[in-house]
Amino acid sequence: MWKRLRYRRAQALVLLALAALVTTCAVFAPLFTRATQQALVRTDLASRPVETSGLQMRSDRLRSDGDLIASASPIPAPLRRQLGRPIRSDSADAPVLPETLTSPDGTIEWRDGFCAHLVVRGRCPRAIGEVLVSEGDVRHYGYAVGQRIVIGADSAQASEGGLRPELPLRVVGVYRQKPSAYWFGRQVAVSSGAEGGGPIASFSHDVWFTTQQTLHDSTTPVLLSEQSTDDYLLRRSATGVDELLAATATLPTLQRRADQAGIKVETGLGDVRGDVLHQRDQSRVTVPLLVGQLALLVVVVLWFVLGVATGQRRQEVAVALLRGSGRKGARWLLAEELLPPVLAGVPAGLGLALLLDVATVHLLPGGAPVELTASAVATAPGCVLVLGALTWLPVGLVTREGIDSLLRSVPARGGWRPGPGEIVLASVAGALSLAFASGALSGPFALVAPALLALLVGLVLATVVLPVAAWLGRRLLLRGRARLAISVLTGARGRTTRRTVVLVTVGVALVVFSADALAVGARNRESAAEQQVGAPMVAEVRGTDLAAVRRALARVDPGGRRATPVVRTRPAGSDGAEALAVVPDEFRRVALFPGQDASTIPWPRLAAPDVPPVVLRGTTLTGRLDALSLRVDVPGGGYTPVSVTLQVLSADNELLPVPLGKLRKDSAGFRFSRQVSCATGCRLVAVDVTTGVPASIVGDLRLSDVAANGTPVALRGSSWTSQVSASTGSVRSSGSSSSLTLSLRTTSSRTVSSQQQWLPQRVPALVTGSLPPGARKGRFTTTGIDSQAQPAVEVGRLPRIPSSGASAALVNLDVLERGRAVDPNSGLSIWFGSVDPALLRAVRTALADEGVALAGVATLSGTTRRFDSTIPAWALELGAAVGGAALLAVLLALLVIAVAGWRQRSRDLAALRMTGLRPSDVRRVAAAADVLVVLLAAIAGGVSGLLGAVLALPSVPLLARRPEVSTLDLSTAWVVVLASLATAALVAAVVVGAAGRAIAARSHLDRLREVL
Amino acid sequence: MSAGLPILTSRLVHIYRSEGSDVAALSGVDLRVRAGEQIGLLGPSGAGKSTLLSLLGGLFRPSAGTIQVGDVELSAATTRELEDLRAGTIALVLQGAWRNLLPYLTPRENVGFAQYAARRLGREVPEVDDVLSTVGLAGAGEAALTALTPGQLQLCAVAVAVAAAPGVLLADEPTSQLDHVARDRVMAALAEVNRSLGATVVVVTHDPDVAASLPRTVTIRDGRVGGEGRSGEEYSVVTADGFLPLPTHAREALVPGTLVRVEQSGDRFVLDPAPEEER
Repeated sequence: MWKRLRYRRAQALVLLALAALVTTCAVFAPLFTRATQQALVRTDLASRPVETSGLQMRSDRLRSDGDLIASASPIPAPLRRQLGRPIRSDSADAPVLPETLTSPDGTIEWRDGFCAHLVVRGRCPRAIGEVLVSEGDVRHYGYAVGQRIVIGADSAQASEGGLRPELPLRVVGVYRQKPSAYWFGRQVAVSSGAEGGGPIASFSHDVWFTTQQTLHDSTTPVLLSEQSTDDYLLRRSATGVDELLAATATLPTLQRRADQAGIKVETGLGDVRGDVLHQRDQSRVTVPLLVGQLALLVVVVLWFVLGVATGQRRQEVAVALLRGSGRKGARWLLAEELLPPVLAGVPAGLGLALLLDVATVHLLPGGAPVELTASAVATAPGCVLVLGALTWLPVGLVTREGIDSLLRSVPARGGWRPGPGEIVLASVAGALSLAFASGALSGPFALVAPALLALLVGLVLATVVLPVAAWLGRRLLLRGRARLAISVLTGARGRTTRRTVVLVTVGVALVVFSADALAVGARNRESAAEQQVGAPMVAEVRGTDLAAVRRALARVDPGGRRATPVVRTRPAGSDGAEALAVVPDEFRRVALFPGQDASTIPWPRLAAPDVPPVVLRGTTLTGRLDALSLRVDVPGGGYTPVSVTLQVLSADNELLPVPLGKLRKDSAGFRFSRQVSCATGCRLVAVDVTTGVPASIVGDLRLSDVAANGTPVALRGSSWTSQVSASTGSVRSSGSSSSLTLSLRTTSSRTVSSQQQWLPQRVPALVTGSLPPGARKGRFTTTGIDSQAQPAVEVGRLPRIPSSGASAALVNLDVLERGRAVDPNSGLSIWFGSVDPALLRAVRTALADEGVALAGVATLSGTTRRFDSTIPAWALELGAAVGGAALLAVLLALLVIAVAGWRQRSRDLAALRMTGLRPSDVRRVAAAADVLVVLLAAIAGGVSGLLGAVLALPSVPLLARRPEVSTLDLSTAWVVVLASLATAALVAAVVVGAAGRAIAARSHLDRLREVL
Repeated sequence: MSAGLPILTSRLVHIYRSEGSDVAALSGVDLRVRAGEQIGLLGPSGAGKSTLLSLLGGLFRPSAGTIQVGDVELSAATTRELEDLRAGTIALVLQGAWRNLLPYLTPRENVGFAQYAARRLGREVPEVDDVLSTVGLAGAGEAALTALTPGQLQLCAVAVAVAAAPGVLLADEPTSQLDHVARDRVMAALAEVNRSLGATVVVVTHDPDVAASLPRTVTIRDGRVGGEGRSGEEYSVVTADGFLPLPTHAREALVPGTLVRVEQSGDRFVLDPAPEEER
């Protein structure tokens, strides 16, 4: 046996390599699937804040003792095992008394072991009523160690218990928070000094920490909004896919128990479970499909190689039969040569699969453990059986032949016609390809479409290539191109040409398809990330001070070339459209527009009206209001006075109404003098005319001689809007530079107004998706930066708007800002044109100078990494490896075909030398014959791979989840495709060309004397 | 070990199919070879010599007629019986030395391999070294086949064939492509096999020198036995159905259609062509 193996070392090595490759595929598929699932769980958990990967239980009353969830209905064991010890906290509202406009409100809290997670100046609380306040509270409210503070309690409860509704506290220390997972994502010292919204100003203090007794003591009155919380951190390092799925499967049970106990449960683990299950299902289909077709290809290659090997042993089988060994002896003669390397390939493949698994685990993020799963182990004996049977089959076929047949050097069947097996194979491949093309078959199984299509093309090409080559060779001979003709004719009569064509076609198709899929996947993940983030870097701003942000940016990036403010408005209900308010000139340079050319977007249509505002500066507004033949008719008779109010916008974008006065019946007008808060400048935005009850007004009102602190205000009567409405009538504006005349023809409304044209009536908007309900003729309602309805008009459509939903509007921030201020509901952010840490630092510093902080920073690269850390991405990367391995398998097959038939081939070439061809010509002929065939097959494979990609890619999951806004672009990645095709074709051509030349170098004339 | 076995064929016909037509390779061969005899099969290309040899070796089954080797009727033997015969009784040396050898084995190992089936059947086989000595390869047993000369390779092929001391040794063109020195060595080896083992030896050859070295030659022509030569003397052989193929020189005189009167004169038979006017 060893002699035989040594004698055909190359063959044995190739058989071993191919068998190892089959085993590797079979074993590695479950290992890879497992590794990706583990990596997914770990990266998913690692990317989530501790509060979403953990679990929080909250009760609206203070705990009586111990954990919130009673031991009678505990957290289910699988979940409990993955959670750490709960971090308990009890808290309540702590409004500082006495209540004044500046007295702050906040929270007082006991949290188990809080002192160890704070930097304390002073000491930690030890007794009832002792508290720690934050450094911010010291800064904003002047608290000091030793100071006494009284907070309010629930007055109703206190009176029932005969207690005063207040709790005296004493400051014993000042703290600064140490960031750690202990805090469960909370920042306890960021609220101090913050001014709340609402009509009455209110201020916040940070969380104050105290002893548990302070909250629980019987002498303590019931405080406001008491609650207890248990925070459970997930033991991430101990949580793999099995543990996660087992734990999260019990969430409904926990939820049921918690509901019964009146406890709220909050966790993001359900989302993690959904993600993991979804992607696990994807991996269970895509990975076996990808690896399976490689395994299938390698099995086919191995079958071909075994066929070549057994075909070359026909004489030896004949010898065995001649010497009376019988069929059984002949079979063992072959099996002893072929089975050992094939079976030795199983442990080699197993080892290779484990090495690949180690490499995969190393390459995948998350630090998943190396695991040898039961399914992977179970495949090894299966490989032994399959490979053994695969080897035994051709051995059995050869030894079934009679000696007379075996003594012929080639099997009786030959020629170019396909055999029945090939016809069946081509028919099946053709039918399935047709099914994919027609859409009858879809889903992840489309991944096999390229291989099937390539198989069909390869078989057809293999059938036609021989007669066509023969015909072409003869034609070339007739034209006198002897060398090329001989090359072509040599290829046409090559016994293994058909196999070479099929193998190269399928191998190259897999290479091209997988390369294209990899590139398309990467492109789509990047596009999706670009769409999601909107710019290379986006920093969320805490607060709503747009003016401060603009001032900071103006200092750091005066031209707005590298950073720009963006306000995202969110509709309160369903009748407004989400809007992204941007500075167009800056935004188009900074933002990312996946799949569209930013320069083709009609940015000028978003421009603000080219009307300067009417500015007044001062604290006293004077002027004259005249009624010119004004007639007011109240339905049903009577009279109602007409009030006129100026709407002015402060420098802080606060809308201030300035009532000018009322026009009573028969009043011709009056002079007015009103106090206004416009010392730093205000802009006139509207004149409202209001009646006490609905009435119709006919006549003119004239506003003139308006001055602020004695300085005339140019009203520019022509710069005010006119309104004509079928339901309310009309208000037409006119006037001179110093006066405004409103011609009223109203019907039955209470308030009509004329706006300054500086303030647009409808904001021009570039929209995507559908307009919100109620939209007519491109006019719709979006949401202003103040979260109020904002009339808008469509001035163009975009395929999508960066970092926005499927239906959204892109508007000019300068326009939207006129007359409105940013509301807390709106999101204020700064978009950066690049990931520039220095710029970010500068912006952060500039913002801090303005008293503004950044909440968080998202980068395109970070988001892309998250998209890349998904099973679809890993599966496509595996696909590329599969393509490479497929090419390797095909190259091995080509080598075996060359090695196994080299004697016969060298004799054929020696015969050419006998005809007078020089050795160099013979080498060229030998190389060219194979190279021509391989190049032809490679081109066919490339086309098959491309067509296969067209069929398959729509069904291949490129992203873990379908994004709300699709940036899907399945167009061919031509550069990658052509590069992979050229590389594959070049490598294959070099291999067969080198083999051909090597064989030609051995085509000595004495070969002709060999009979074998 | 087998002693030489007699071979008897009777009205042996072999028809094969080629390109859609039936071709008669042999059309009634009657041949008797005595046990331990050494004969040569001669004849032009396509006459059917190799086909006859293959039929004698049990590689083909005849279309009609019988082949008896020793006590065994080959045409009626089962596949298993044929395998057993090839294991020790009938040995065939194919044309081209390499076709008889496993290329990765040494001469010694090839001989050992050829004895494997006979040993399995419980037959007594000669020592490998004896076999190699018999054919004149005593010193080359451990050499790689690629290191052997063409003549040594052919001797090795003969050694492999006689490894199990067969009763019948069939050799197809054993001296083709050999120079005269190697040719003589191979023929000497065959003669030694015949002498020492007592094996019946049937050699197909084109080579007149080889034919001349054999005590008996049988010429196959057009699928029939066309004549015999014994000790340099050429004879025509009367077939079982009474036909008498004419030797070449007689056929030139007696063109097809010639009427011949066969007359007996004592123990001699005279062919007397009819006069011209009677034809």
